[in-house]
Amino acid sequence: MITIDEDQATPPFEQIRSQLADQIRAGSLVADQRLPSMRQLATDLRIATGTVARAYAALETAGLISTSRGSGTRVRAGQGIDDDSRASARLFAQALHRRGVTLDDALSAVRAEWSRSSNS
Amino acid sequence: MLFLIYFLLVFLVVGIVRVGSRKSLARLVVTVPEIGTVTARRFARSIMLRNVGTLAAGGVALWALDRVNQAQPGWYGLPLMLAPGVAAAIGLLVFALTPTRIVTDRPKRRSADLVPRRVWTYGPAWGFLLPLCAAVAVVALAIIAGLTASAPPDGAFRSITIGSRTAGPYPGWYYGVPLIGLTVLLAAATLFALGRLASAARSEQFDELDRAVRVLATRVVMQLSSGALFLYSGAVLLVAGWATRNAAITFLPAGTTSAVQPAAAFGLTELVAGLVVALLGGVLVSLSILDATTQPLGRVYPARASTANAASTQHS
Repeated sequence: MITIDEDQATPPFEQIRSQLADQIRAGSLVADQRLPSMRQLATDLRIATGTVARAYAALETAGLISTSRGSGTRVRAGQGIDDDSRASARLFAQALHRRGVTLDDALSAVRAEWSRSSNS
Repeated sequence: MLFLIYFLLVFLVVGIVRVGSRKSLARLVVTVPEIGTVTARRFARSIMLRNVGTLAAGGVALWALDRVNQAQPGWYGLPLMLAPGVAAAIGLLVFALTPTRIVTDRPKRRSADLVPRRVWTYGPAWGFLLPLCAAVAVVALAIIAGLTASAPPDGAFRSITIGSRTAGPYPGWYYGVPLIGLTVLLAAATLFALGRLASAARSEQFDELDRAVRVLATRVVMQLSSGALFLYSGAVLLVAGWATRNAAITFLPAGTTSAVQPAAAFGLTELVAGLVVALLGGVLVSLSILDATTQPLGRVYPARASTANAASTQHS
C-alpha cells in the first residue's frame, strides 16, 4: 500500500518513489514481485500517469526495479537490506516511537549519527 | 415443442446451479456503514444499470439481426446464426465503454495497493480457460466443416456430399469464415471488457463492495460471452449434424434405410453434442442475466462501527 498526501511539500512523484524504494529495501516488496501498471496506480491515486511514470523511471535508474514489455515492472533481486539490519531498524523505530519521537526527528538523528560514523 | 423442452431444461439447470451456489453468492453481498450508504447505493445502482444496459444492448442487437434475417432470405440464415455472438459482442462493448466510477470525492490523502489487477484477477482460472478452449474448438470445427463442405448446388460451400448424396445447409466456408471472424471479435470484446473492469479506479472507502462488484461484473462478462459462444457453436453443431445425417442416410424403396458409416454416426454425435452445447449456452446466458440484476449491497450497519475502511463482508 502506498499513500500520497497533497498537503505535504514533497511532490507526489517523490512520495511514490520514496515509499516504493523503502518497501523494496525493507523487503516488503520481494525480488521479482510484479508491481501494478503505471495506469492502475495512477487511476487509484487519481494522479496523472506521467507522475507514476516519473517515479518508476527514477526507481529503474536507481536499479531497484526493471521494466520489460512482456513481464511488466518487477522488483530487481538483491535490493533489500539484510535481515539483521532490518531487525535493528525495527527495534530503533519501536524505541523512538514509544518515546514519542517524530519520524523526521528520528531520521535526522540517524543522519547525524551516520555522518559521525562515516567520519570516524 | 422442442423449444419448450429446451427452455424447461434451461430453467431446471439454472435453478440447480443457483441453489448450489447460494453460499458463494451470499459472499458477494456486502454491508456498508450507515455513513456511506448514499454513495454506496448510488454506485451499486450505476453498476446495475450498466449491467442491464449491456443485456439490453445485446437484446436489441438480437432483435435487429432477426429482422435482417427475415428481410434477407437470400443470406440463408447467416444473420440468425451469427446473432448470439454479435449481440454479446455489442453488449460487451457497451459494458466496457460505460463509465462507472465509485470514487466521487478526491481527498487530499489517497492510497493505492500494490497488487496488480489483471483481466483474470476476479474469477477462477477455469472460468477463463474453458471459454478459451471452446473458442479454439469452434474455430477448429469451422475449419474442418469448411474442408469437408462441397460447393454444389449453389457454389456457396454450404452443403456436404457423402457418396452420391448432397445435403444442406451445412456450416462450410459460407458460414465458417464469418463464424471464425465472429469468434475472434467476441474474444476481443471480452478481453476489452475485462481489461476495463480491472483498470477501473479502486475505491478506498468501499473496499469489499468494490471487490464484490468486480467479481459480479466478471461473472456477467464471462457468462455472457461464453453463453453466446456456446449458443452459436451449438447451433452450428446441430446444423452440421443434421446435414451430415441426411447426406449419409439413404431411404430405400422398401421403407428401410442405408447409412454410410462412420459419417452417419458422426452426424448423430454432432447432433447430441449440439443439443448439450446449446443447452449450456442457454444456461450461461440466463445466469448472466441473473448476476447482472443481483444487488451487491446488503444491510447497512450503524455509523459508530465505521472507522477507516467502510465495508465488510456479510457473514450469512
